[in-house]
Amino acid sequence: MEALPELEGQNFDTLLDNVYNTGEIFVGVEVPITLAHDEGLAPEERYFNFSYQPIYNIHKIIDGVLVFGYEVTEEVRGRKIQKESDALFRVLTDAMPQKMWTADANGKVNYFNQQWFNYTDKSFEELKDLGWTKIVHPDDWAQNQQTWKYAISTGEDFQQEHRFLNNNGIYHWHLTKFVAQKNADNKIIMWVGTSTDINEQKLESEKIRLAEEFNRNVLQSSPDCVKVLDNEGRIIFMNTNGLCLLDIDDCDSIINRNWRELWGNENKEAIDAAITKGLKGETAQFQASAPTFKSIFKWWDVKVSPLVSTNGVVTQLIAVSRDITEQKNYENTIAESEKRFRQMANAMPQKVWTTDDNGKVNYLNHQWMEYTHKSFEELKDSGWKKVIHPDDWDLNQKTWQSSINSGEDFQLQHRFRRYDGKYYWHLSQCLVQKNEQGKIVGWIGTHTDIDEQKIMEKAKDEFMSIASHELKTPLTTAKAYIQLLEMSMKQTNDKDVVFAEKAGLSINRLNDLIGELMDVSKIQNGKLNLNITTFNFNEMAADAIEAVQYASPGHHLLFSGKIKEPVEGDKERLTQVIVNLLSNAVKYSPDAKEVFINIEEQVGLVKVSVKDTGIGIRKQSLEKIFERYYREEQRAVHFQGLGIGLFICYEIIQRHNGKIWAESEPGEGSTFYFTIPVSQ
Amino acid sequence: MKKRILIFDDDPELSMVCKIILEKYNYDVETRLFCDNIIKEIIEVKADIILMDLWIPSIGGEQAINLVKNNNTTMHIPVILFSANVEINIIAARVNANGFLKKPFDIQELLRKVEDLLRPEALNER
Repeated sequence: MEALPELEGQNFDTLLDNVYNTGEIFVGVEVPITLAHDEGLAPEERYFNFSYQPIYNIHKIIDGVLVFGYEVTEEVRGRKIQKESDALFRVLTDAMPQKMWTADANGKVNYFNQQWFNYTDKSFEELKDLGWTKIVHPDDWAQNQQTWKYAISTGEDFQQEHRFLNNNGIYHWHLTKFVAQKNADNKIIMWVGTSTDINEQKLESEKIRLAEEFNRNVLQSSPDCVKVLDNEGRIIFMNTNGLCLLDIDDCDSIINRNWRELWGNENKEAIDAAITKGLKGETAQFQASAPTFKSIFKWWDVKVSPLVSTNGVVTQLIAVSRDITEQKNYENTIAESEKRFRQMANAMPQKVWTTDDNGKVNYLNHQWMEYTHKSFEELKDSGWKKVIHPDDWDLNQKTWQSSINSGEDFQLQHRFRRYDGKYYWHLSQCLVQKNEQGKIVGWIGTHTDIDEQKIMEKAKDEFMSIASHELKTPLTTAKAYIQLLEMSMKQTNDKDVVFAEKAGLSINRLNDLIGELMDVSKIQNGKLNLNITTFNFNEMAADAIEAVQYASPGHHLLFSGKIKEPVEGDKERLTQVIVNLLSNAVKYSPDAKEVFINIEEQVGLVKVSVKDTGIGIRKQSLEKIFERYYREEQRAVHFQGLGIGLFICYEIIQRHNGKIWAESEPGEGSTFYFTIPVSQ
Repeated sequence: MKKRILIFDDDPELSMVCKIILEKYNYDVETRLFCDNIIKEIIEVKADIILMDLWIPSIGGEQAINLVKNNNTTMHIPVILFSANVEINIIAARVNANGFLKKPFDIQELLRKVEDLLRPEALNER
């Protein structure tokens, strides 16, 4: 105590007394002791490890204390600083926004800052050692592990991007940097790492990347040749389709070449103008032709648009060239075909015209002007209407309107006034022109002068009418005289009356033939008109049967069936059909006794069948009886056997919107059928 | 008293045979080859019934019937139109003829039509 008077009051005497009194050994570890400074400075606290051990004499009485001590001030102070610096380190690392960690030389993580716990809601215990690996995105794990291993083995600093799972179950992208702490021997003593949440940046850059990819895809998927040019006009990008269109095999060969070079000299002005305009921030467009790299000439429709940066400067241009070669060729073809059409139209004798979709005349061939002595200006649009005969105007108007409504072609006969005021009959054939969608785009028509034909037709009609009249007048007289003769011969019971009767039948036959000739003539001229009335079909059929029965005493006509409703039709003409079918049946079954006729109703139809058991009709003829063309061509031969009556029947039934047909077995007989609607 | 029939037909043979037949059945028959001055002729003849050919010169049967039917003195006289024209039924209806005969006709038909139209009831209907 004398040597170190500053120990006074630091409790050492108490400790010593305790050793003396109890004999217990005292061990002091890092006991702070305030000692005076050697160089006269203020006393300082120093640390000692020491022990007080009692020393026993032979009487087992403590007569001394062995003091053993050494100073540990440096160690204690060092540790204290360490501790403080650790605390400071924690404060610092907790205050930083990044996640931070440290690991030992082997990579075992031994420290996480607060951000980790906040982010993961996990404790240190859960994260330490390899616990943290569970929050790494599985897709990133392999890469993560590889990097770690490599870093640990090489001791190099690293950084990597990977995703960590947060407390909401969402992975955020992080940029992790780690640095090896090495000692003086360059041996790794620890790793320090920071992980920065870069999720938003990452998403943002992903967005940009997607946008760029989208743009690139748009450019690539365009069927046109799309180029990005710099502000000098050099090509910095061309899409794949563009390379194809230009027959370019090697993309690199085109990059950085000036776009102007791809065009011939004749287009230089157009290109320069377009680039200049584009650089001014405007859009330019032009059409030009230029050869591809394989010297194939193509037509292009080119659009140049500016790409403006955020500060309003045109940095790049987009040039889109569309291959319009086909379209151009098509246009040329159309122009040529139109020219050819005009030449043809002028070369033909007919008057030709076309209209737009509203029916306004937009083209007339030369013949029109020649016929009317009017100019195209006078005739166009609706000017032509003035040359139509006033009496034909209503029909013209009606026919036109119905074609406009229905979109159907039409034919029309009407008179046009020639320049000298005379009217001539014309046949107009008008075809509706439709586009692919079926919309009317116009009409095209021809007018053929049929005046002479008309006159001939009229003359023929008159002739036929007169001929019929002239033939029938003496026939009527002859018939009357024969009937008179019959009457008086009957009165005198003259047996030769049978001759008079036969003469009467022949006159009737002659009359029928004249009638048939008239009918054929009418059919050929399309003038077989029906006189439609409503009548009792059963009575009509009975009358027809009676008439044939009277003339065919050798056959029995068996009538069956009934029609309940009144029927609409031309009674006279339908009678004619039934008489004709029955007469044929009788005529072609000379050995039979019976002919069957049946009438029946079938959902809105009247069906009549006439069956005989006669000679029948050969199959090849049967097929052709009602075939229009065949009949037209072969009529004379074909109907020689059957008479022209069947042809007339066909026409009459057709006009009734009905059907007529026959079934037959040679040697067995034939059945003729017809059906007509109950109401017309 | 015999009923008097006036026939207008330009064919003398036909007129003749009709005359023979009708006279056999106790009618008075007058024939004309033209229908000019038709009203005057009808009144002069005092016709009870008229047979009119469609193609009679010079104005034609249609117009002739029109004249008859629009004249107060003659309008009640029945007129039968006859012709070889197949549409005679339509024409007859159009001109208000009282009947028609399609040439060639049966004489029975001729007689029946004439007789029908001259029955007192038929005359009273008009």
